[in-house]
Amino acid sequence: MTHPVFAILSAGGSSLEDTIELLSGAASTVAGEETSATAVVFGAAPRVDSACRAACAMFSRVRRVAHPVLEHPDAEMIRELCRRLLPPAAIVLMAHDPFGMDLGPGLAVHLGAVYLPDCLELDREGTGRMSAVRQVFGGQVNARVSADVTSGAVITVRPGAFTRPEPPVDVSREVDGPSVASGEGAGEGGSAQAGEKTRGVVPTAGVIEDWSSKVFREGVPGVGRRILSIREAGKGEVDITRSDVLVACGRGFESADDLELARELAEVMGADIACSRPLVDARWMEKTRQVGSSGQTVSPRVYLALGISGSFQHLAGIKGKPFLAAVNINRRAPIFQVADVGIVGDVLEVVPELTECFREGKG
Amino acid sequence: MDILVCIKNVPDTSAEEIEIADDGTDIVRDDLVYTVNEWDNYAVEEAIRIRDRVGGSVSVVTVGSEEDEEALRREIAMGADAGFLLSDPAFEGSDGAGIASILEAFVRKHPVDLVLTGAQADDEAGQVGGMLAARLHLPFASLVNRIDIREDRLTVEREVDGGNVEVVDIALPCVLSIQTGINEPRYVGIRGIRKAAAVHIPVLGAAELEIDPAEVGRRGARVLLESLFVPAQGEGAVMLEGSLGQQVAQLAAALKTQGVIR
Ligand SMILES: Cc1cc2nc3c(=O)[nH]c(=O)nc-3n(C[C@H](O)[C@H](O)[C@H](O)COP(=O)(O)OP(=O)(O)OC[C@H]3O[C@@H](n4cnc5c(N)ncnc54)[C@H](O)[C@@H]3O)c2cc1C
Ligand SMILES: Nc1ncnc2c1ncn2[C@@H]1O[C@H](COP(=O)(O)O)[C@@H](O)[C@H]1O
Repeated sequence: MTHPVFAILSAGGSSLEDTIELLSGAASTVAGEETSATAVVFGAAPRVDSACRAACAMFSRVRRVAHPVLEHPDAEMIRELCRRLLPPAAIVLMAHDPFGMDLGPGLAVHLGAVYLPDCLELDREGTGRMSAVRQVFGGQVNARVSADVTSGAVITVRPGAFTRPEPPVDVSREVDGPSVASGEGAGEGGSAQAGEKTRGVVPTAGVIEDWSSKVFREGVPGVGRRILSIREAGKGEVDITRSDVLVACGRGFESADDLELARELAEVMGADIACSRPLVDARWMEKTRQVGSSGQTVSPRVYLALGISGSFQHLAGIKGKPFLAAVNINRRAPIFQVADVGIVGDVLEVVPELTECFREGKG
Repeated sequence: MDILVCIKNVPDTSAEEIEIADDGTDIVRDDLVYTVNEWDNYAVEEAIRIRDRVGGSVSVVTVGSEEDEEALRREIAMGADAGFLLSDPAFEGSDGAGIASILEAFVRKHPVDLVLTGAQADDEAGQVGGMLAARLHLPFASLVNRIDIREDRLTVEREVDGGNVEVVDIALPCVLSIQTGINEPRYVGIRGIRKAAAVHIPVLGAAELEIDPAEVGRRGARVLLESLFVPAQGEGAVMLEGSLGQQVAQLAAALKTQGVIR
């Protein structure tokens, strides 16, 4: 049997464009030739409409689910709506981000589907089976897992692991700009053809179907949780997002005192100090110096990672391909998979030496 | 408030060069030191603080083998009141869904007001908490980094992208997965561990938990580990060689070429 493929998007989510690309890439890998994927976009008007239009560029079918209660992307609510909307044995894709991590595991249970978290690679293996590659043990080792997907699968996909598939050949049909049936009462009839005339890549001319009234026919699902507000992260005294050169410290530093060594190095290098999450958790550094998915996104020219293993959540915060140098005692540390230059060594030995080197060079 | 914290004993691999065992489906664990999963320590600390504020009890539970008992004792030394080991040959080889269903069976026999898990463990899956909540039909919130108690509800904060925070109202009983940094877990001294050595830890198997052995373990698993492999180095780093002094000089030169000052 073929499994219909769905990509779940939340209009309120961060980095929506990236997520659309990620999921369309993943969808084309798992959908095979016989099926094409459907994007489902949850949100409140008007944001949901721009999100639907964005999804149209990469999905040929987009289902719009709009309601004022979806102003914030509450996974508990969206999980209930997914149960009303998804057919049996579906393959359901979402990003492995705080929204997907909230939604996915419980959705798999409710759909009776397997759960494949944080997938880097996906492969269909004949009917009813699928295999995936995931990172385990802090990214030192990858695991290939295989899953029985006869009852469907919920899959969270590692951000950045899939890119936009080659555009299908015959989507160059001329259509009007995207028009979306708006308002809550649009109903199922409110489907509209949409497309975008862009130069260069020809986008998929996606069709938007409004499923709002269908999904909410039984009313708003009662869930035990409600988002009260969103609080933006605070700003600190230094803004590492603007730094040219960063010296970033990780748990390879075993005490707060040892960080003084890194501060001295940063000073002679004319760099700012950044860090990985555990140093913030330990209250050794301010949150505003944390690089990563739950911290800052930086784009320096040079990034020196000291005693940082290179977890994907950390690397997610480094953009713009800086020159990346790493010092780590473990030759297998995943940071060396992405570094340009590396020293296998102890930060307590390497850092003071390096500071000396720069001091002498200045002299 | 009665709180249950699910914990996992995991090998500390960050500074170790992991080797893959001959059959390709596990790592060589002999020389690895085991510790309680980092995220779970924060969860236990939070549970203890809540109990100390509003009363009640903290239990810790793990699905594992005899060797994992020490992890439970460590958390008892930290301040948990009781520990339970869920262990049975039939549980071996469980996938995440299997672990969640074993924990579900336990919670049904020992109902609590609040269940805490870590955000993720060594499988880096982040699945057990959300699955457990769904199986128990309880509300769930992941990546929680603050908990405030309001009568029969909680106000919790979820850490989302960029360090932004979602403030969430959630009904009790519920399941929360805890993110690091929510508190500063207390230090556990050798004396505490010695005291906890005497505590009786009940061991519960499939029969006691009324679990159908075919539903869990290797037999029940729908997600199977095929193989482990070391990821390709890709473009890879130029790994510097020579004495420490030579390596450092080369690194400094490379950094200067990239335009780090003068
Ligand atoms: C939802 C979520 C969001 C997250 N967001 C972030 C984020 O924004 N930023 C972030 O950084 N992390 C984040 N994390 C945590 C992330 O998963 C890792 O746990 C974290 O990045 C590890 O930090 P680390 O590399 O400093 O520590 P570890 O992984 O413990 O690595 C320490 C490294 O230091 C090396 N080392 C040890 N001693 C020495 C020595 N003497 N000299 C040299 N090297 C030494 C070790 O070999 C090891 O590689 C997040 C996790 C989750 C679940
Ligand atoms: N074997 C286990 N026994 C008890 N709790 C577990 C077990 N495995 C995972 N958990 C819980 O689930 C959390 C997330 O783990 P995981 O879903 O495996 O990433 C952990 O932090 C624990 O709280």
